[in-house]
Amino acid sequence: MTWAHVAPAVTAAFLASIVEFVEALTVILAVGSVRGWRGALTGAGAALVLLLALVAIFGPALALVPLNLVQLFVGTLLLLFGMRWLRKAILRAAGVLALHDEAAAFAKQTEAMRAAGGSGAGFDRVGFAAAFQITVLEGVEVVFIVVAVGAGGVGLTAPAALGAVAALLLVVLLGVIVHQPLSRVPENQLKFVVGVLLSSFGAFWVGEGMGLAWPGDDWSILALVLGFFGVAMLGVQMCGRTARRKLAPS
Amino acid sequence: MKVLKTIFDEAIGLFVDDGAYAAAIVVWLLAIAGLVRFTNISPNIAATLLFVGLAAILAESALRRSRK
Repeated sequence: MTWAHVAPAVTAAFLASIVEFVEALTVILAVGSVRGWRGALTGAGAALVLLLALVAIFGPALALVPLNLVQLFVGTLLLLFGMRWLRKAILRAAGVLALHDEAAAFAKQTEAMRAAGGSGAGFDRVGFAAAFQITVLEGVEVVFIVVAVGAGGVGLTAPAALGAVAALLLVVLLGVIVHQPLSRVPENQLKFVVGVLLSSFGAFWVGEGMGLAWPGDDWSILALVLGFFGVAMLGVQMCGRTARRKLAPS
Repeated sequence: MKVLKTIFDEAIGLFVDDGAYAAAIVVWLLAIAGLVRFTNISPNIAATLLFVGLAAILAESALRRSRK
């Protein structure tokens, strides 16, 4: 385990988790402010327990499979996941797709929670279900990243999990302090960076799993990061130009 | 059944957004694996080809989407 592995693993898990937890926080805040905090916090808490169980089950289970098979399988999934994020981030940065707006998501969710009717005196099942569902949906992506990044090398699960837990604590802390959606978090830029990191990890591990020899061994991860970043920046320029040409009056 | 379908759709959605894009990535991985298995290509060159192909797929797919 070298710094060339650990640093991108922790960074990818931390930044990806921030994006996902910020999105979950928006819905939990909407649920809590409209329907009460008991249902919202119990739903989110129950989902976190489920997510921790998934990490505890799948993390060690993957260690039982031969490393090159795990690298090939998980690397392919990581590549599909990371390149999906990166493509979307390129299109958003180029102005082709709309940027994700937490304030708008909060308003929409608040409206939906009001429309769901009063919570009454008993336990609020609707609030619980909404908070549980969003935390599981966003959290599953975090679990996948932690397990996948951790599975690529011996001893990487703990640093990746540490990155995710640090992100969770930071988002919870900011949520408690600010008490409104964290719309100032530059989600698209974060997704751009995470897309670059996960695509690089995925490509590296798929290559390792196939028995390829990366020039520079582990340090080629950094070269892949620079390579994907360069292509993505070029993609933003090209897509932006194409989109502007399309919008320009003929 | 509906819940299972939702979970399945969500799981697939984690990895596949644009079907052609995801298929191109998988096909390129299979092509490199085939090259390594059936030819005497240098593992260094195969690794470089792997990245170049993925970069080209990314750029082409983003550009194609921006033209729509």
